[in-house]
Amino acid sequence: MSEEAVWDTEKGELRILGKRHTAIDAQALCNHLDTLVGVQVAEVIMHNLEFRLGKLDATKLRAEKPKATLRELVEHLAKTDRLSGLGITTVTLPENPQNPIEIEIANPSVKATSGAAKGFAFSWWTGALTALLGKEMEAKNFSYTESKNLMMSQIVAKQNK
Amino acid sequence: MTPTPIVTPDEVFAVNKKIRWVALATDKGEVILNRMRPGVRSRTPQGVDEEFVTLGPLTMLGVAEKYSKYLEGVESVVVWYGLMAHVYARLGSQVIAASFEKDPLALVSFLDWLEGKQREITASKQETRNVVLG
Repeated sequence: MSEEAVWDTEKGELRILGKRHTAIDAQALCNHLDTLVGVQVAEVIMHNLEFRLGKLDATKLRAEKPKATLRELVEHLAKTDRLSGLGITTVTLPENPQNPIEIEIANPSVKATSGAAKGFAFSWWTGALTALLGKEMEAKNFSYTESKNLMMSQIVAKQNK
Repeated sequence: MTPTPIVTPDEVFAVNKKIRWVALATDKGEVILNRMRPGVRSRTPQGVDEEFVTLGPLTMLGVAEKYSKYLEGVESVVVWYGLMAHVYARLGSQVIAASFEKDPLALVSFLDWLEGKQREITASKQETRNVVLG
């Protein structure tokens, strides 16, 4: 995978870490989906998509970098958020694996703690970490701090209910 | 761990002989049941039902629920296909999908059963809430 974003205006092509992307107004897409099917269903639809993509991307990355540590893989994946314009993502892996993984997105392109935007920002990470850790993960404790323009969530092992 | 289905296939198939298929998914899109009536052959290729049940009924209910606040909720969504009929509805935190032969009486019997089941679930939830609130 190329380490950076490649925007080839001749070909009309945007590639981020080797994968073809299209720049879209993500907030408008999320708002539209929320309006169309309601906030709760929109959240499930977006989660379903992004969780699957996160798993695929992380699995592919691990296959390409078999010797990389978890931290290196996570840092590499965090870079895709920045390159795609989602925001500046920081993933904090805890010393104790029982503790939650903290995800912070500064200057996020979507701002909401419910509906499609929530899935857009965090479900990809939930899927990616599920693939990297080999256990089903889920995101919880979502927040958006307007004064800092910061979205946050914690990712934890999925609890059996 | 997969959540326990809120109804069993036997319970649903017993409602009317013309019910062919029943499926359940959670309201998060996790399929927890996908069963044809014994002896009945599916008209869809393998895997299509499961894929559909993941988000299809939930999405259709979501669209219909846009009118909920004006029309007192959505009890079910009925789709009258060329070959058969489908019903989708919420049952607590799960979503049921069922198909049956295009017989209005079968539809009515299923909708009656569904209404009773929804009432039962709501009452049981209310009871739990009362116990919690003391």
